[in-house]
Amino acid sequence: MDVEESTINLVSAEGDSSPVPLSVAKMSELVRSMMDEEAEDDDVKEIPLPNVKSQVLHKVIEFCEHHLKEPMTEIEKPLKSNSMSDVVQKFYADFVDIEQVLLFELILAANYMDIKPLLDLTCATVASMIKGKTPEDIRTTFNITNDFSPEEEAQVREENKWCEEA
Amino acid sequence: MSSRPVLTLEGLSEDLQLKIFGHLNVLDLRVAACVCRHWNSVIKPLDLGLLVMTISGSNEVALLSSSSFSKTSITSSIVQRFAASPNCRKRKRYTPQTTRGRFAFQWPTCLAVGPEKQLYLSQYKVQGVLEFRPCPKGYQYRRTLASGRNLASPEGLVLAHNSLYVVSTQNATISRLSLSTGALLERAGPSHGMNGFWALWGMTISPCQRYLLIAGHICGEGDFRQPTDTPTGAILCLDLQPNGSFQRNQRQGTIVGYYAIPAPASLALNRPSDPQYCRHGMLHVSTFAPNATGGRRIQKFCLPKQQKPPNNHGEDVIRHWGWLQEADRVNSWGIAFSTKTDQVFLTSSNTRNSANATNNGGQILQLPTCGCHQLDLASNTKPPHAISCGDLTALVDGQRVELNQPYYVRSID
Repeated sequence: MDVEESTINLVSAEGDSSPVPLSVAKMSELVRSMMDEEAEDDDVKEIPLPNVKSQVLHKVIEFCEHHLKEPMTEIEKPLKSNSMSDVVQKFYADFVDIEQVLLFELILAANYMDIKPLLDLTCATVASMIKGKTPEDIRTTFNITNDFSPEEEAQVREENKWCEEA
Repeated sequence: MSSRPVLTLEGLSEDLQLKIFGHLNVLDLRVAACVCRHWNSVIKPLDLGLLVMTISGSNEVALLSSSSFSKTSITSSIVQRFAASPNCRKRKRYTPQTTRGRFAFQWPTCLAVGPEKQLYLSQYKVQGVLEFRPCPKGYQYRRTLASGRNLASPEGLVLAHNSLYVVSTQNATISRLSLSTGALLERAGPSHGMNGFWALWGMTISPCQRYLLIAGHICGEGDFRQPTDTPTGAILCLDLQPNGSFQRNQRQGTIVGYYAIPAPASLALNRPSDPQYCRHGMLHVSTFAPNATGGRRIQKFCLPKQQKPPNNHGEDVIRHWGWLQEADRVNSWGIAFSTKTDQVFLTSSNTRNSANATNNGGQILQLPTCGCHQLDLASNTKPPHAISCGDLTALVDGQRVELNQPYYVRSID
């Protein structure tokens, strides 16, 4: 019979506690280092993550749990396609098929918790939304205001000109 | 995060934005720089230069970033690889008939980039010049600008004076073509008195736009691409009129052919390949070391601003400064200089003649400087010497990316 792996509680900004196996929690370098610091204290069973909302933390845990079972393919730079399903396995492509707000919060959470594969995946996903588009398309996609003056924009476009269509 | 939700991409830190941009190639970064002021300020410090090179062994052209982006962990990468062939499905096969044709490359050699970033390519297979135009993904074939026996075994290409100058190695000629129609405007051969069986290779134009400079050598028996037992290479020169026409004999009206620029004995060129000017105005030529059994090296020398006319009875007009120390013996064939920085880019191929289609170990190498800043240009006493140019690094390594004989390379800003 398998020995059941011990768990640790990750506590979100809202105070919600999520029990996760140690191997999952340790995918976060932040959690790993906090556990190492408190190694001598056997009572440490909770890790507070005040910068991560519950909804985001659940996504992070989902990612880490799956990554232990099926590690994500390393993402090649630069991206060869603007479809994430061409870049990573289906689970991971579906995982980041989410609203922009949640995607950006996942980037912040992955950066804060120091989970490299999740940061790579989320950053590459945003990059895939930029790849192959015109400046106008990109502004529309991310709701960015064009704050160049007409003269500035003409100069910047000339400096970075490659072809008429781009 | 809970106290101050960040809901936009612009709300991410600059480090995180760079991590995102790190997944994009140079062409996408150039577009992203035009989105807004903030993105422009994040992207502007990055080097968005491009290199384009022929991969002769696999009939390809590659477009790649000219920097490793080491500070932002963006790796140098190939943006696009595309076939260096016309789109036509059926083309008449070129069957070499002559000795030179039999030994000839089958694929692309030299290239030139136009002011609108259009790409011109010497292509042995079609005996002519192909034109590609930039597109969002890189380049796409546009047309075969010119082809025919006149251009057999095309090599050096120079775009200037609204014309395209093309070397034909097989005919030992230089043709001037109309850039719009590809029509032959003029053709020059060797000047009177040039003895030997000359093979012409790469070509460049002087900064004053009045002289075409061509790397050439007198062939030995057999394969004309091989170095010779004793050095027979030279820098050849073809004089141009201010409008780009070939210089003509005033009395006869005939074209004055190209001639070998007299060189000091210390400048022994053996099967030279690619003459290119750096932005300091010094000419660099890739060549085998004087001893044909050695590797290749990059020789550096200067030419006076006012060339002497031909037949000046052996007066030295080339000042030989030495060779790029770190590039010595890496078998460099193509050279390119960044127009914005001092960087030097070299293609390296392990084969002796860069034409045996068996080698996959080619590299694109980068030197931080051409070493000109350390030269005392006023000095007349220093002998030619090895010039230190900083650490040689591989931008693209054939051990990781298959590069079958990278040949010529050019920089695009």
